[in-house]
Amino acid sequence: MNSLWLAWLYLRRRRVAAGMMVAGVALALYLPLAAHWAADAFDEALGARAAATPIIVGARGSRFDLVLHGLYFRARSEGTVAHGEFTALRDAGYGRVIPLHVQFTAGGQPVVGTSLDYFEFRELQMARGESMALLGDCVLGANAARELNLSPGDKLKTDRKNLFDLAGDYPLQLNVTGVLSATGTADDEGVFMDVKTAWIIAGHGHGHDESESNATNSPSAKLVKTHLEITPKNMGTFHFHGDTTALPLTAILVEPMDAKGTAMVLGRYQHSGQLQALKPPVVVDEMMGMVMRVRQFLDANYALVAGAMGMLLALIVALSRRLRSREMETLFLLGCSRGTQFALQAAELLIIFAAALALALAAAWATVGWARDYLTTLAG
Amino acid sequence: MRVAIENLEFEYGPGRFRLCIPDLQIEAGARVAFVGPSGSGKTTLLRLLAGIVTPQSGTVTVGEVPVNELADAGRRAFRIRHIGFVFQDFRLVEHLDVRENILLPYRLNDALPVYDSIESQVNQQAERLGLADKLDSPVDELSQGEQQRVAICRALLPRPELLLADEPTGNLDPKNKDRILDQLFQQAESAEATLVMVTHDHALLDRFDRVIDFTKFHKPETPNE
Repeated sequence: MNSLWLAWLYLRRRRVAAGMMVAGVALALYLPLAAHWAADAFDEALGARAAATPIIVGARGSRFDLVLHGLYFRARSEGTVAHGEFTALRDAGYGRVIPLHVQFTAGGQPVVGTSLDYFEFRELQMARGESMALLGDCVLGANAARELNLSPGDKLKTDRKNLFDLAGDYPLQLNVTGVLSATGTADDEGVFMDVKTAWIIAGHGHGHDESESNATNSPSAKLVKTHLEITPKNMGTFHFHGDTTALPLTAILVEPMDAKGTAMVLGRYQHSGQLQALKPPVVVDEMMGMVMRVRQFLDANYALVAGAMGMLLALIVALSRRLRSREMETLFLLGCSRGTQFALQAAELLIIFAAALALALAAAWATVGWARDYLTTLAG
Repeated sequence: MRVAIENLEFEYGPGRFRLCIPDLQIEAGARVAFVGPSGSGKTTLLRLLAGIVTPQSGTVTVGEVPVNELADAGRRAFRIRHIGFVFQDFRLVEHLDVRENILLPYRLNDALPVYDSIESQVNQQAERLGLADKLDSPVDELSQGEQQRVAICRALLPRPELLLADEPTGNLDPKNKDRILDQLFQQAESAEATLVMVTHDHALLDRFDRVIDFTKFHKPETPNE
């Protein structure tokens, strides 16, 4: 106890040098700690969401992209799956089948066209307002509502994908009907709506305004219109042209009711040239395997840094012993044994390491806490 | 505590300073001054008495204990329990304040257990030596004289039976010199301790029971030895 007290007095007097040593050691400890914790948090978040998503069906292409698209609403450019495939899967009775159409954003948040089954599937609860019921309605994830500062009853316009494409999509003004409770997942970021509303944003369906029919049919009359809005008046006029089974989905989530259902769904797309069915846990495991290899590489680097820091500390301790030789001789003259002298220096190192460890843990904890939300949506 | 030295021979190394004392007795409670030119072995003998160094031959007996025959740990424990040492160069630890410097021997040695009233003992001792308002000051902010008094305070606190002082008044002004000497003599008397002091100040010698001149003990090394 006396050794610790005397060591503390020494370090308190040499606070600048001690502080620098603490900072150096803390940095050497912080980097691997933060990296490990962040990787664990990422692994945990990704793994939990993947485990809760048995099968994703989508266009062939990158398996990682499809899984990240289905789990985190990450934009994907590789093809679509026809709505008819969704109805076929649903009618086959393998289990719960949920459409996903994720192509647009609103206020920078991903627009997720889906069905009410999605909320049940992800166990999403309404925090405020009501679920979407009509064309043009949307429900916001907790973070999306906070970011956009919107509440039930507010309006939200989708983002235009291409400002210079006059023939392309028009922003659609959405009615915010509800806000979901926070889940700490990518669902917190989403703007959810019925898939038909998403199709209207994509330009696959449209309605007719009264003013439009009365106006001259000149192109200029259409040009002044900067966005679409679905109102009680025009809602009945919205319709989709052509074969609705050909309308696109970007992915389909399937929750088979049993192992047979799983086998049937996977088998259905095994030899398909256009579509693939993936088990997200398997793909995520593969992805995390890559992360692990990066982690091992980083660990080796951290070990080198720690080794260099250790050698630097050893040098500092050796130099310190030389500089403090008179002090040590004084302690000896006052009856201090060599063992106690060693204990004193060990106590100084112990305090430095303890302070550095506490600092590193606090910093790593704060960093990972701050980054957790970011990491859970990193794939999005 | 009496001191007896018999057939003592000590040298720091071949061809270096050599001290030879055939016989020296110091009675318990005596006040003894060591005088002699620099390098005549006064400080060395204090270190031999304290067991900081050991002679090549002969015996150094303090009380009834042949100090030079004890093992390192035994000598250290004996020194801490029975001997107070005021070093010529103070030997203060600069990163500690005055209070912690005075308490340092207690912090470093289990042989000197910290007792409940130690803090009040420190305060009283500091008061006597004019250090009461300096207890929380860093020692490197003190004057030479103040540092000397801290060193004396540290040596006196455990109430040693043998007090060794190596020029304790060397850095003090006349007023403080008398004050410190009074303290040393008073402490030695109240504890019935033996006081052995190295000094170059011949004006002080009247206050001692005995003066030992070291010129006779110093034996120059011959080239053949």
